[in-house]
Amino acid sequence: MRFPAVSPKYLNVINALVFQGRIHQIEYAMEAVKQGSATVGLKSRTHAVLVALKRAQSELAAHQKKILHVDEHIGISIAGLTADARLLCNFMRQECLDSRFVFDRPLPASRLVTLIGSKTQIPTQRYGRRPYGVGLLIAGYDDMGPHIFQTCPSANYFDCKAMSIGARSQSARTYLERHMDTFLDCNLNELVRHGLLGLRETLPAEQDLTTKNVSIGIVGKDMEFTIYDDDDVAPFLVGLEERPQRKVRVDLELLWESDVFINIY
Amino acid sequence: MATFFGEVLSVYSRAVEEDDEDLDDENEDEQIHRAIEEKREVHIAWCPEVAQSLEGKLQCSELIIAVGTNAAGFLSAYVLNTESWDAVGHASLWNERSRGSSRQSIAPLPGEPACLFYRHRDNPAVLVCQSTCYIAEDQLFQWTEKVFGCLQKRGLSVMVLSDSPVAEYKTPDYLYGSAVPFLRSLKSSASKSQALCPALEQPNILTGLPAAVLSHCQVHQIPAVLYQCYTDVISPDSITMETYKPALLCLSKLVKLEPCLSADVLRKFAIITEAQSNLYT
Repeated sequence: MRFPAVSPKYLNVINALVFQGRIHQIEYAMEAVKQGSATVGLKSRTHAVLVALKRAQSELAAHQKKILHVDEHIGISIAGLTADARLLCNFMRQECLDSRFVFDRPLPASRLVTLIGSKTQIPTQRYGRRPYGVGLLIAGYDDMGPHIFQTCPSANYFDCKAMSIGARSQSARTYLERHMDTFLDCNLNELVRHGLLGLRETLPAEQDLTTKNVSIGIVGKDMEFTIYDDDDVAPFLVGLEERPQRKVRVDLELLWESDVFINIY
Repeated sequence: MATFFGEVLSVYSRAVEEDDEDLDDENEDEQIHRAIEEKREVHIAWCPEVAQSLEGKLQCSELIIAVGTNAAGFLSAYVLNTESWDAVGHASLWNERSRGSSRQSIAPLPGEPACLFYRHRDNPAVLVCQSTCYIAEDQLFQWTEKVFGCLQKRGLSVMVLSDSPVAEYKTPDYLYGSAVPFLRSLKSSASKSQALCPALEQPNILTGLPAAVLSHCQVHQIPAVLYQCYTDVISPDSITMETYKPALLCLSKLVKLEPCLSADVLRKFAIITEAQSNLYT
C-alpha cells in the first residue's frame, strides 16, 4: 500500500494517523506541557508532596497558581495551557464532590485518574477537537496510602514514585532518579527538601528558589491537602543551602586545546 | 452577413472591446500593487560615517548575523557587552508581523523587534547584525541583496546564528529532554573551516533569513557557516543562549570577548514575554 507523501506540518486533523503511525496533534499537545514551568511530585510512606515553580506575567501581577486544591485528600500541580488546566480541575472537583455526595466517601485517587484518562481521550479522537494541552501531577492520600500520578495530553496516566513535568524537567527527573531509594523513609521536611532541590535543578544559573516563585502542596496521613505560598514557604527554604551564583567563565584557550565541545555533540 | 437566400443581414460583432472602465480598474490595480511594493521595500540606513565609505564598498572580513531572540541575546551578552561596538545602521521594513519597524530614518527603540548592525571599534572589518524582527518571504531576497551589496565580497566570511524550535527537528529517534537545546551546523561549499558541531541531518531544512543568507553565500562563493540551535523553550532563555558558546571560539580570534560573564548579565537578556507567560502555567 502506498501512503501519500503528506508533510505532517500540514496535518491538522486529530484523527489521522500518519504513515509512521504517529498522531502529530497529540505530540504537539505534549509539547505544550513543556512550555509550562517545572513542577515536581514525590511521596514517602506517609505523605505526598508537590513543589512547583510559579511564573509572574509581570511585576505588577501576582504569580499564576500552579498547585490547585481538588478535595481534602487530593491536590494537583499543572504544567501547560492554563485554561485547559482550569477545566480539568473543575471536572476533578465535581467528580470528588459527586463521590462524597453519593457514596459519602472520598473518591480514591486512582479512580479519579481513570476518569481523567477517559475524559482526555475523547478529544484525541473526535473531529474538530484538540487534545488538552496540559499535564498534571496529582498528589493524593487514600486507604491505599499516598499517591503520585502523572497525566498527559495523550490521555495516558502513570502511577509514579516521583515525577517532574514542565520546562527543563529532565534535570529534576535526573535528580529524583538519583535519590528515589531514600524517599520512602524520609520524614516530611526531608521529602520537601528533596522536592525543592530537584526543582532547583530546572532553574538556569542566574535564578534561585524564593518565596515568590515557589509553591508547595502537601497531603498525608492525618493531614488534609494544604498549599503553601509566599511567606509560608520560607521555613522550607531556610533549610536549603544558598545556590552559588555561577560565573559563566569561558576559558577560550581551554576550548581551543580540548576536543570537549566537539565530542559533546 | 449574407444568408443562403441572398439576403444581407447586419450582425453584431462578437469581438471584445476594452472599455474605459476596465482600463481604469487596471490602472488602479497597478497603483495598489506599486503602493504595496513600496511599503514592503527593505531600507538599509547607515550612520553618516559608514554611508560615506559606502561609495566604494564597506570593508568587511567577518559578518556575524544573529537571527532570533536567543541568538541575539547570546551576542548581546557575550560579544556586544564589551562596549567596543558602535551601532552603525539598521534595516527598516514593514510586513504584517513587523509593523513597528517602518520608520526609515529613525533607529528602532530599545527592546523593539529590529534589525541592527554593529561594528567593532578596534577592528572595523568585523560587523555584527542582530535580527529579531520577522522578515517576510518576499522581503528576504531584497534584504540579502541590499546588505551584501554594501559589503566587499573579497575576503568576506559569514557566520549565522539561528534559533529554531525543536518541534521542527525531524529525527527518527525520540529526543530525550537532556539533549535539548543542541546545535547543528550547515556550511557553504566555499567554507573550508571545520564546524564545531554535527551537520544538520536530512530531511531537516532551513527557512527564513538564515536560509536566504546561506543561499546567497553559496551562489556568490562566500565562505559561510550557520549554527542552528534547536530549543524547546519559546521565550528567550539563558540556557539556550549558552548553547551558542562554541561559536565564541571563532569570534575570539577576531575581537576581544567578555571572558567572565556573571549570572546577572544573562538574567538581563532572558526576559519572559507577556504572551508566553499568560498562556502557559
